[in-house]
Amino acid sequence: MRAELKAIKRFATTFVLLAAIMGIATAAFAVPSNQVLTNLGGRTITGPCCFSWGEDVTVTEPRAVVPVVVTWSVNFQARDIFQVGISVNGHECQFFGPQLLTDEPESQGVDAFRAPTFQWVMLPSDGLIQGSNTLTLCGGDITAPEHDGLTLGLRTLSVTISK
Amino acid sequence: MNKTRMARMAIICLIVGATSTVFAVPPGQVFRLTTPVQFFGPCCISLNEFVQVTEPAKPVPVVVTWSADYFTVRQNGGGNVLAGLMVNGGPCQLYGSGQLSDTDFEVQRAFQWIVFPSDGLVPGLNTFALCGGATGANAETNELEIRGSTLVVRLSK
Repeated sequence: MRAELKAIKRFATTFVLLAAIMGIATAAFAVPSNQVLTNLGGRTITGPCCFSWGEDVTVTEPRAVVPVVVTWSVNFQARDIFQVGISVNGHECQFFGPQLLTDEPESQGVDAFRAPTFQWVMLPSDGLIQGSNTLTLCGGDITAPEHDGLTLGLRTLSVTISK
Repeated sequence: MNKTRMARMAIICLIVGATSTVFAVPPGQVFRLTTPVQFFGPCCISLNEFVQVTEPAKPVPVVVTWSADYFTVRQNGGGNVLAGLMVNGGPCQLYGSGQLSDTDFEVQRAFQWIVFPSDGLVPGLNTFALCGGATGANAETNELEIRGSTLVVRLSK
């Protein structure tokens, strides 16, 4: 009887342990809410490059820091040329790949909203650190800051990392 | 610590280690260009952007995403400018949309391509090279300038 109880206890302990590990693994596959930013209202950005746009996501890096991929999908309208980049942990605005928001008068017509998607790659050498990292959109007008602003419509910002 | 307990610990460590490995994105799976580069001529040539991914024993599809600022200049109404992939040194092929807009100003575009095992993926290391160029009449005089871009490959699970 005692042996049976011992076996049951051992089985239960192993089961709980495995369930906990599987739970951790599942949680790791999920995208934490801090890694996504969506359902933002429309806004207009004016001013010369570069300044923070106040929209950020955070991601937690492991001890051995690994690259992250940030994706920004946006509806926008602009008559000037704007630059968009990322400030890593509050540092200066940097550009990690494509970076221009431009009007396309010939194909879209003036005042048309465009819907590009930007994919940026941040490497450990770009200022990523172990633990929490804040990635903030930044940029501004690089043509005629005294003219029209950049109108942002619906948009999402997300970051994916390896763990 | 008895043998059974040590064996259990080893299994747990293996599981945790495997989980970490699954999530790792080695640097070779991402590429970033921040200095403008120009290409002239007909399709298809390498556009000098490369990523690699390690396939399991039974290869699975991969998703390659290319995001870029670029402009094209086509002389005398010359045809299209295309972008695709060379898988493991094979021919340049399209794995989804790949036509670059005809522009004489910079635009931003993102392309998502899916490569299946039947497209030439092999167990172990696989290399994907961005390729492209102009097609049609006067293709040799057409220009593609990539101002900034990223190329990322991910295994589907």
